[in-house]
Amino acid sequence: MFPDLAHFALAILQAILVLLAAPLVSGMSRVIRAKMHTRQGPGLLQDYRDLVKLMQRQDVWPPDAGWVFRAMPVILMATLLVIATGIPMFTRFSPNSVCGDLITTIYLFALARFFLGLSGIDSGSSYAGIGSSRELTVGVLVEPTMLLSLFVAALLAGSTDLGTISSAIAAGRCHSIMAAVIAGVAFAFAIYVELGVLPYDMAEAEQELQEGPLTEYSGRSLAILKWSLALKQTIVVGWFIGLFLPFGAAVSLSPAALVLGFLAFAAKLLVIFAVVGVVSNSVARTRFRFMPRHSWAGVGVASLAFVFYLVGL
Amino acid sequence: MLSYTLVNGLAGLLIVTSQMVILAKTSRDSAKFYAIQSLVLVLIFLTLAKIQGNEELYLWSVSAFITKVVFVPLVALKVFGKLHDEKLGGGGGLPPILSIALSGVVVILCFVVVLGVSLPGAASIKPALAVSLAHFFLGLSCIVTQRNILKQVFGYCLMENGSHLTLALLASGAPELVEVGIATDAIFAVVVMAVLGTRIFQKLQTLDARQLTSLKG
Amino acid sequence: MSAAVHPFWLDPMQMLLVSVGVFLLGGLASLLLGGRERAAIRVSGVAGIVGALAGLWSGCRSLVGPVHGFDIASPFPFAHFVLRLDPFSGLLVAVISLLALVTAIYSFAYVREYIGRGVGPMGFFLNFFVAAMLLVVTSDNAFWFIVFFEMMSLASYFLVIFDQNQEAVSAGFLYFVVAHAGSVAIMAAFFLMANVTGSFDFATFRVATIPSPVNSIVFVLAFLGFGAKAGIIPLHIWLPRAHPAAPSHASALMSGVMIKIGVFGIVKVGVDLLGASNGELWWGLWVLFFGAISSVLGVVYALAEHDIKKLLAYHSVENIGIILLGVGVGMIGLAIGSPVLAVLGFMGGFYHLLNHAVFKGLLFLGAGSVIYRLHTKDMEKMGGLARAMPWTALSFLIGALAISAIPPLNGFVSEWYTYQALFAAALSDSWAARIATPIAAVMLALTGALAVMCFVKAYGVIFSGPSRNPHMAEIREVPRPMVVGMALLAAACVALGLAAPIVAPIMGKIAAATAGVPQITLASGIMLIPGNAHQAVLSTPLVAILLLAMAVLPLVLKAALTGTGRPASRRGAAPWAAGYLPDSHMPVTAASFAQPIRMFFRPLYSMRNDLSRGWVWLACAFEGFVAWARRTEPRWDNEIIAPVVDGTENVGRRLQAIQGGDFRIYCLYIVVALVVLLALAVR
Repeated sequence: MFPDLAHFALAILQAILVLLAAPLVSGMSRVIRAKMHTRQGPGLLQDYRDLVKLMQRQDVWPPDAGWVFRAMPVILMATLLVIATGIPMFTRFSPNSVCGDLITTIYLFALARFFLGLSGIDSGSSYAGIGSSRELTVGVLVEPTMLLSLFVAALLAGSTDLGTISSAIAAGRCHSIMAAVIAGVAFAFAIYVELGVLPYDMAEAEQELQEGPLTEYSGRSLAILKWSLALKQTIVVGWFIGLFLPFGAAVSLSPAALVLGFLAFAAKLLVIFAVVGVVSNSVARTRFRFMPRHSWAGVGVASLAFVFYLVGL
Repeated sequence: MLSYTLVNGLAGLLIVTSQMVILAKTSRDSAKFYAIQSLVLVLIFLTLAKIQGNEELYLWSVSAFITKVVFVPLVALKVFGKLHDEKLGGGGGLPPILSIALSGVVVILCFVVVLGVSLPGAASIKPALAVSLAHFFLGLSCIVTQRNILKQVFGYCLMENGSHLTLALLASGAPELVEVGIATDAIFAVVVMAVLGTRIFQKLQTLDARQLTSLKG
Repeated sequence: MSAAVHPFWLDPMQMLLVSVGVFLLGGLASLLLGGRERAAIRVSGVAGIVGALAGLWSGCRSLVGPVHGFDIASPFPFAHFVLRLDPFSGLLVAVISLLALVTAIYSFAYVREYIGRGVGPMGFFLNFFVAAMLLVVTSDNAFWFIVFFEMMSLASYFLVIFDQNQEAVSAGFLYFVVAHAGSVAIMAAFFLMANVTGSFDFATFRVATIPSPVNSIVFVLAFLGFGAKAGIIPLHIWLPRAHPAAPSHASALMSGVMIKIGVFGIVKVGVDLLGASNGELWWGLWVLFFGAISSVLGVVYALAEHDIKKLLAYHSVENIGIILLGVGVGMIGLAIGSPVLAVLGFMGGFYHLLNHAVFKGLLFLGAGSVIYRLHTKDMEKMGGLARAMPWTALSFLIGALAISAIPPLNGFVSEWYTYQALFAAALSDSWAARIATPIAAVMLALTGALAVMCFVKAYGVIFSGPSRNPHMAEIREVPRPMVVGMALLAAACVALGLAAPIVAPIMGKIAAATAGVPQITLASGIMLIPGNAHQAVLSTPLVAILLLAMAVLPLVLKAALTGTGRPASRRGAAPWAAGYLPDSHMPVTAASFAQPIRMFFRPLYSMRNDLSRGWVWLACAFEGFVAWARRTEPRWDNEIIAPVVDGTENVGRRLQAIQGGDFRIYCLYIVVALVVLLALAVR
């Protein structure tokens, strides 16, 4: 199932479209927050303007920073784009099946987290160091939930390939409905934590940690980094939609089906981000010490999904 | 779409709603979740009726709707709403993760038990049967671990729902008297326990099961 | 004796004997050159390189070929000296030789640190150690296996106590005790099997059907014995103390290879020798269970360390756990009769065995380089070394990425295959497997996330950020042999990851040969397939190419949208510290970085204290036993032998009176004796 040229082109196109759409999605979050605070807000395209403005500024590095600090934004964006090529977003099959395996996707996210954490230490700033420590800890806490829920979905579909899972759930080929539903709920929780928005934005806590690993970045590097973090949020929600909400996605490579799949995906994405925006602006940040309670609850729900799969419910 | 897979799926939803009944913070919320759970039960009856073409089960679903979805939660909300023990507050019980884990373990054990039993014509609904057996133990665990006596009433109701489902799955051809018996059982039990709860609260000003130890020898 | 038709350099068995011989001779020469230390270093290093190349050649040749045997007469009738090179031993021989090669190159510069403290004996013990390991993995007779196993433990014991300080000696003693306890268990297992089959040869074990429950007892004993050598929790207590105490290149060999011999033993006994007796399902589940808890606990304990070598030692425990996950799935596959599962499981385990040897060796050599320059093992006193030691930093980074299973390096490929094996087992028919394997997969994922955190901490605190060392100005890169050694292993990490479509089928053939089942498809073109393409596919070369290609995009964006007028970047004054001038205590340290994990996983750490209390009790009991023995020993002497001796002395003293000293008495004695004899003769 090595991707042929058409699939490959779709994969690259998908990655670029998601990259271009990412600032729009984060801009939407800003507008929702403003509206909830009864302000007018900066407009949907403000994040694009911010990126262009940041690109024009000078890049200032802390004196102790090494090559990891300088290279991290590029590495992060490259990794996220590679992940984006493998996820079945507009289609029910994975455009780049060799990157579209759930284990590969999880470990590519680990690559992104590795360098994000390392750059925090490399900058020599205490805020960035604490931020990267928290980022990696949250990654550890959410990993069991994510893998268990995905594993249950994969067992229902008989394969760890993301496209196969997506098709199986779309066609209703699972022999256990509640297992799929509860696995979806557990995975949604894990994705929400990965989004890094309130109440789980411990790593980039804006008031507490001066934005954590982002503290010492400026100019072009900050632009690429902010873009990459918005891209990560879009990809992560796209992953959830692609796996558990595949209704409307294209089954073949015909242009009409692809356009329809793209529109369906955009609609689902915007609805989910609207919900996320409302929820995140209504709650306060979870205390870091109590984070394990939430993540253990997530593990519990995912285990329930596993039990349902075993029993056939 | 209408197949035993749907029945099994709804049975899984039943476990989820039972968890919500057990984990709810106040007895009013428990009553609302109980209403939702009974609604799922009614849906199961309807699906079974459609698949098996069994007229009795339509009657059962109507009676279950009237008693369990409408009447019992109404009584509970009216009576329990007036009883509120500030000192007890949420009511203790197991933390969410342990409660969910316990229900998972109970479901697996009941499934193992059910696998060992061979029943003609019931092979494809064995998961649902396991769920109905598990409800007995889930209700029991709710009674044992909750300190608020009003929540314990709901534990009893869960056990009752379990037996109702078992009957519907295995013995749906039973005479109507059985069905009437089960329906009225729920009503009478809740009414009696509501009266008892009110009297206890008036006498002792507490709803905490740990304080009710006058039978201790 | 194998056929002498081929020239000797093409015959794997003969090359193996050459390799062992070169190691032994090199070791002896190094010892004899004791006084002339530079020559000793050079001789030991050269012998190591030559022997390792021969061994590597021999191992690689036997990976896919037929089984080679060798035997000569031995002085004992019950113990034939038989060697056997089958694909699995060939893999171990190749791994041992690869690490010995790199260690020998590394030692040219590293051992100069030990000049004046016995460089000759170090070379001797090191070469002896490697030779003993080569003979252990190829032995085909139980007696010689135990002999070489003991030689291996003894040689490494001397390497552990080399520093001769209190910690090293105490660690060495603990290692000695645990290794011998393991040997006793292994000997018991072999005796049980020999009892049933009547001979000590592995060849007879292989075809004998050992009845249950004897086969289960044999398996458990062998598991405990080899597990003590491998470092499975809870038999791992010697690892975090012995590996840091040894010199770094010896630690690399011990951690990279010697603990794999523990896994080799488990597979050999469980799969190879007990192959004809029916393997039980619970053996595989037992191995899976210990693998899962070793992997999680190993990395959790590693996170709390700030001694770099102790951190790496705990990571060895973790990776042995991961290898055992694969082996456990393989054994489950054999027990339920699924050849695909068996090959997939074993292949994941063997691939991880090779990968771990490579990247753990690399990490230990990197740690050794840092210690060579800074003379301290404490991570809190390091920092910012990437500027002074760029090659060491780059190699350590590649090792850290590989051990955290980051695509597209080698650690990721073997963990991917292990996940696929666990997934295939979760889809199988056995209920126990269907429940256990997803739980094991979740624990493996937890291990991966914790390993990422641990190595970000390790690399970051040592090589990144500001420097915490007062002698920073004098630190330079390490000498070239050490850099070459590390670079070779780093290149191997990358190569084993990108060339996985070539390496995976070879591992599959080794696994199939060991399990005795037919092979399965493991790769096609540049894609990796876990036996069945519907289940999943992966292509590490493509992932690598995509990562490099996608990195172009942000660079293009940067170039296209940059403003003009002033330089694009500059080095600023100081990181933001809320208005204060930053000082050296503000940046994150090793302890503070891992503090959240220590807080959230506190029960696991207190469990370690409770377990170690158990070992302390054992040590006290042992000391009590020794005291009792010391009191009892003289009793035999005092109460039984002494009176006899005293009595004899008394009698002797009395009889001394006969010897008067006056020769006239002696003449009288002669005449009296003559008269008595004549009287007797006449009678």
